[in-house]
Amino acid sequence: MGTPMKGLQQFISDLRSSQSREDEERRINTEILNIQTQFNSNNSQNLTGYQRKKYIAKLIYIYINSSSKTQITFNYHNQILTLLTSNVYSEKFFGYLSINLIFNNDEEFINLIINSIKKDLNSNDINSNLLALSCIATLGNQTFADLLLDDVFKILRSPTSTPSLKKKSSLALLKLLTSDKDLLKRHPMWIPRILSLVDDENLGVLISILPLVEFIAIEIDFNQTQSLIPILTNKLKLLILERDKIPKEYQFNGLSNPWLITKIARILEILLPDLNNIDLNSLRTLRICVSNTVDGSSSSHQKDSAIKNASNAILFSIINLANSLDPSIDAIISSFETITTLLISSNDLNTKYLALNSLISLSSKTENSQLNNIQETHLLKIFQILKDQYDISISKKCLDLIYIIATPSSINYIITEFLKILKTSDHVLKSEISVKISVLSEKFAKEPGWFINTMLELIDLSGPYLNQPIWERIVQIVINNENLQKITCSQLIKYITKSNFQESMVKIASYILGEFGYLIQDELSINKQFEIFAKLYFYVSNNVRTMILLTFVKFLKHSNFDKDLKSKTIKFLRLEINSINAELQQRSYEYLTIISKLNSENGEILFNLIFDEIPVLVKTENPILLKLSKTNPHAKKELVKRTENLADTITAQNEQSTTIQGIQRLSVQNPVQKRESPLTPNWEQGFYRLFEYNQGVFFENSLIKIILRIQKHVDQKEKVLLNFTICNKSSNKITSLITSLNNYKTTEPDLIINTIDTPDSELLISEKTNFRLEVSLRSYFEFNEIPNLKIQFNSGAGFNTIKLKLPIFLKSFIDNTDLSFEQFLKHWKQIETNLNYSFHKIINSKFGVDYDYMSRFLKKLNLKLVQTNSGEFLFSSGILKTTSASFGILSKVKILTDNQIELIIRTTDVKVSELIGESIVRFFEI
Amino acid sequence: MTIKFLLLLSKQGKVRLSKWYDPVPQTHKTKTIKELTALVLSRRSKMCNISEYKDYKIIYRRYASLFFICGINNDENELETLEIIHRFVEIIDKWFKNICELDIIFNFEKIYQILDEYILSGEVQESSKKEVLKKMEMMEQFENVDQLENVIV
Repeated sequence: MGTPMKGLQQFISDLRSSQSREDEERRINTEILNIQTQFNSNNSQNLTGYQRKKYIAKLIYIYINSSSKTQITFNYHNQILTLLTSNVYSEKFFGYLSINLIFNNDEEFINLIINSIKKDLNSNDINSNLLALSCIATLGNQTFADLLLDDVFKILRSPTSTPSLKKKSSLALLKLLTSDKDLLKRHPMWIPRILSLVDDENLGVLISILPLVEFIAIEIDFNQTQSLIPILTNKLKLLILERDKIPKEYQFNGLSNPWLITKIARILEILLPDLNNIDLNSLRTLRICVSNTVDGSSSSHQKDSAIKNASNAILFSIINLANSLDPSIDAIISSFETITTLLISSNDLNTKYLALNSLISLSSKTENSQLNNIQETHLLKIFQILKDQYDISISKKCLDLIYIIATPSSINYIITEFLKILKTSDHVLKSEISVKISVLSEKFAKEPGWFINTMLELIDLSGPYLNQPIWERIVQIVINNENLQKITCSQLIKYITKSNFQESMVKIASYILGEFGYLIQDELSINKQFEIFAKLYFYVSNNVRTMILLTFVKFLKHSNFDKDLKSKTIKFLRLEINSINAELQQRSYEYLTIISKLNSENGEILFNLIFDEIPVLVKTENPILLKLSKTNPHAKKELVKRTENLADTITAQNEQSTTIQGIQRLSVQNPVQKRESPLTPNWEQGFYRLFEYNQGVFFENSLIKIILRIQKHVDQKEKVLLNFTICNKSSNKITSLITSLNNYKTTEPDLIINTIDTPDSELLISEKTNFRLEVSLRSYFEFNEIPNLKIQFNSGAGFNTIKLKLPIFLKSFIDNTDLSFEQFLKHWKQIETNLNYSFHKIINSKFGVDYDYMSRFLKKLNLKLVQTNSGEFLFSSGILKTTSASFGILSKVKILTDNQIELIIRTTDVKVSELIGESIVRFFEI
Repeated sequence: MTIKFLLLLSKQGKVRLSKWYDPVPQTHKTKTIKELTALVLSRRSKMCNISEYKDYKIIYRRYASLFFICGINNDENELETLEIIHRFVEIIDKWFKNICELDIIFNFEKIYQILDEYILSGEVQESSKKEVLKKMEMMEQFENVDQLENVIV
C-alpha cells in the first residue's frame, strides 16, 4: 500500500517468471523459510512495521494466488497481532486483510484477536472503526455477537456517525444478528431505531440498511416493518418517477439505480402479502411506478448490454411486485403476456433465462384454468426455444416451465415432444427430461397402458442416463396395480429382445417377469422367458446378474418346479458359486441350498415361503419426486408441491382392487402377528360420539386432535366416506405420520375399506392434514369385526402410536323409509308371525332420557319416525343396505322411567335385529 | 445475503481473487473453485451468464482474460448480480486507469480493499462509483501520512 512494497513486487515477478511448477514451488519455499527465520529470530521484536507488513503480504499472496501445495506451518499469529495493534494504518490494514482471508476459519485465533477488534471499534479513529466493522461483517459469528453487538449498534444509531460508518455498521450488525435470530428479540427497542434509518437521505446508507430491514421483516417483526410501506413507496417513487432529483452518481448510465429498485421492490413484495395494510395513496403511487416501468421497457431500445440488463432487472422485480399489488387474473394474464413477448423477442440469453424464471413463478402462483389456456398457446413457442437451445441453463428452465404448465389436454403433445428431444439431447438434459417425463406421465395418466408405454419408451431412449428412481418407480407401480402386470410383461419382452436393449430395461424385466411372467405363459412359456434371460445374462453387469438369478428362481417356482428348468437354473447358480463378486456368490450359494432342500420334507413349503410373491408395496414417497426436489431444493419446491397430490393418481385409481389384496397377502405372510395390542385408552368416547353424531372429535390428546366427518354416499347407500382431519396440537413438528388399518378381516370381509387419501407425513405446529377412507358394506358385521385404525408418528423425540376402533356402524348404512302407521303394523305383525326375528330388551341407560331425546336419537340412526297418535310408543322404520341385500328395520321404543327404555327391534334377518339392537344397548349402557 | 462468494479466475484457471461471505473450510473452497473453474471455462461465450451449482446460482461474466464469478442464493435477482459485477469492474477500471490482469496480481490488496468498500457481508454497501473511489483516495492519503511519519521518525 502507499508506495508499493518493492520486495513484494519482486517476489510476485519472480513467481510469474518461473519456468516450471517446481521452480515456482522452490521460490515459494525459500521465501517461506526466509520469513520463518525472520519471525523466529530473537530480534523479531526489532522488525520494522514495514518489514513485518511486507512479510505478511507475501504470505497472503502465497496463500491466495499460488497453486502451491506448500503449507505454511509455522506460527506467525503474534506478528499479525502486532500488525493489528499498530498505529500505522497500512500495517493495521494488512493485519485485518490476513485475518479476513487466511484465518476466517481459525476460531481459536479469532477469539484471541477479538479484544483488539473491540478496541478498534471504540477507537476515536474512524479508519480503525471501519476496518473493525469490515472484519465483523466478514467473519461475524456468535462469539463476535456476544462481545461486540452493543458496540456495533452504538455506531449505527449514533447521529454523529458518518455515512461510511453507518453503512458498514448496518451490514456488520446484520451479520451478527443472523448468527442467532433471538439476539434482536432481546433488544426490541432497537427495531424502531434501525427501521427509522430507512429514511436516511444518503442512498448509500439506504442500500446498506435494506438487507437489515428485510431480515427484520422476515425473521423478527413483520408488523412493525409494515409501517415502512409509505416510506419505501416514496423512495421507489423518487427512483422511478423523479429521477432528476437523484444525484448523478446514483444513476446507472442514465437509468435509475437498479440495485436500490430491486431491493425496495422485493421488500415491498414481502410486506404486501395482501392489500389490507397499505394506504390508498401509497397503493396509487406504486401502481404508477409499475405502469411507468412496464411502459418504459417496451419503448426503450438499448444497444448496450449492461444497460439492457439493468433495465430488465428492474422490469422483472417490478413485475413481481405488480402481481402482489393486483392479484386479479387479468393483471396476471397481462404480466404473462408481457414476459412472453420479452422471452420471444429478446435475443439476449440472460433476458430469456429471467423471463422463463418469471413465467415459472407466475404459473406456480396461479392455478387458474383461464391462465392454462394462455399458457398452452405459448407451449409451442417454449418448445421452439428448447429445441434451438444448446445452453443448458436455458434448457433446464424451459423444461421446468413446460412441466409446470402441463395440462391434461396438452400432455400428449408434451410427452411426444419430450421423447423426440430425448433422442438427440446430451446426457445432462437427458437425465432432466427423463425425470420430467416420468413424473408428468404418472401425474396425467389417463389409462395405465399409456403410462406403461410411455415409461418403457422413455427407458429405452434414455439408456444409461436414466435415473435410478425412475425404474424403481415403474416397478413399484406395476406391482401395486394388478391390471398393469400382464401388459407390462408382454411389452418388456419386446424391449429386451431388441438387439440394442438397455440394461435398465433388463432390470425392470427381471423384476417384473420374475413376479408376473407366468401371466403371459400363453404367449410365451416360462421356459422361453428363461431362455431370453439366459442369453441376456452374459451381456449385463454383475449388478443385474444378481437380479436375474432371483428371476430364475422365481421362474422355477411358477413353473411348478419343472425338471428341465430346475437343472438349467442349477447350472447357472453353479456357474456363479465361485464368482469373485461377493453378492453373486452369496446369492448363488443360498439359492442352491434352498433348491437342494426341495426334495426334503417341507422343502417346497420353505421354498415358497422364501420366494413368495412380492407384497404390495406400502405407498411410500415417490422416489422420482425426491430426486426432483433434491436437484434444486429452492426452485423446485413449487414443482414438487404441485405433483404431490397427483402423483398417486394411478395408484388411487386402482386402489379399490389392490388395497384389499395387498393386505390379504401381507396377512398370509405374517400369520404370527395375530396378537393385537390394546386400543388406546378413552377410545370409546369418540367412538360413541360418532355413533350419535355424524361428525365430531374422534380422538384428542396432548399431541394431536382428530376430527371425523361421516358422509353418506349420495347414490350408493351401501357406501360411506370417513373424512379424517388430524391437527398437530403439540409444540413440535410431527413427522413420519403413517396411518394403517389392522384387525381387518380379509377373507370374505363384510366391510371393504379403501383408502382414498393418505395424510401428509409431516405436520408443522398447528397444521392440519386430511385423509379419507371409503367403506362399503358387503354384509352386516359383528362389533368385533370393526377394524382398528392405527396412527403412528414422531413428535419431538417421542414415537407415538394411537390405536382406535373405526367408527363404522350398521346404522350409517341405514336409509329411512316412509311408512304409514297401518303399513308399519302390518310389517310388524308379519315379522312376528312368520319369522319371529325380534330383539327385545329393557335398557338401563347411564343418562336420563325422555321422548324428545329418543325421537331425536332415532332420527340420528337414520330411522324415520312413524306418525301415530300414541304417546306411549315411538315407532320408526328404515332399510339397511349392503351390496348384496337390503333388510327392513322396524323399531318400537317405550320409555319406562327416566333411565329405562324398552326397545324392540324387528328386522327381516335375525342377526340384523340382534346387531342393531346390541349396538343401541351398548350406546346407552357403556 | 445476496452474495455468497466472489471469485476472479483467469482464463487459464488461476485464482486472482476469492472472497467468501460465509465461513467455509478451506477444503470446501478449494473444491468449489475447482468445480466452478471447470463449469465456467467450459461454457461458450454465446451462452447466458447464469448457471446452477449445488444450491447456488452462479452468475459470471468475462472481461478480457478474467472471469468474474458470483455465487448467489437461488431467490436472488440474477440480472442485478450481473450489474453488481459490472459496477465492480467499472470501479477498479477507473481506479487503475484501464485495468489489466497484472494490476490485479500486483495490487491484490487494493482489489480487496475496493471490494470491501463496495460489497460488505454479501450486500452492496455503496452503489456509487464516485463514493467508493472517494473513499479509496482518502485511505491512500492516510497511508501517505503514515509514510511521511515514518520518514520523519
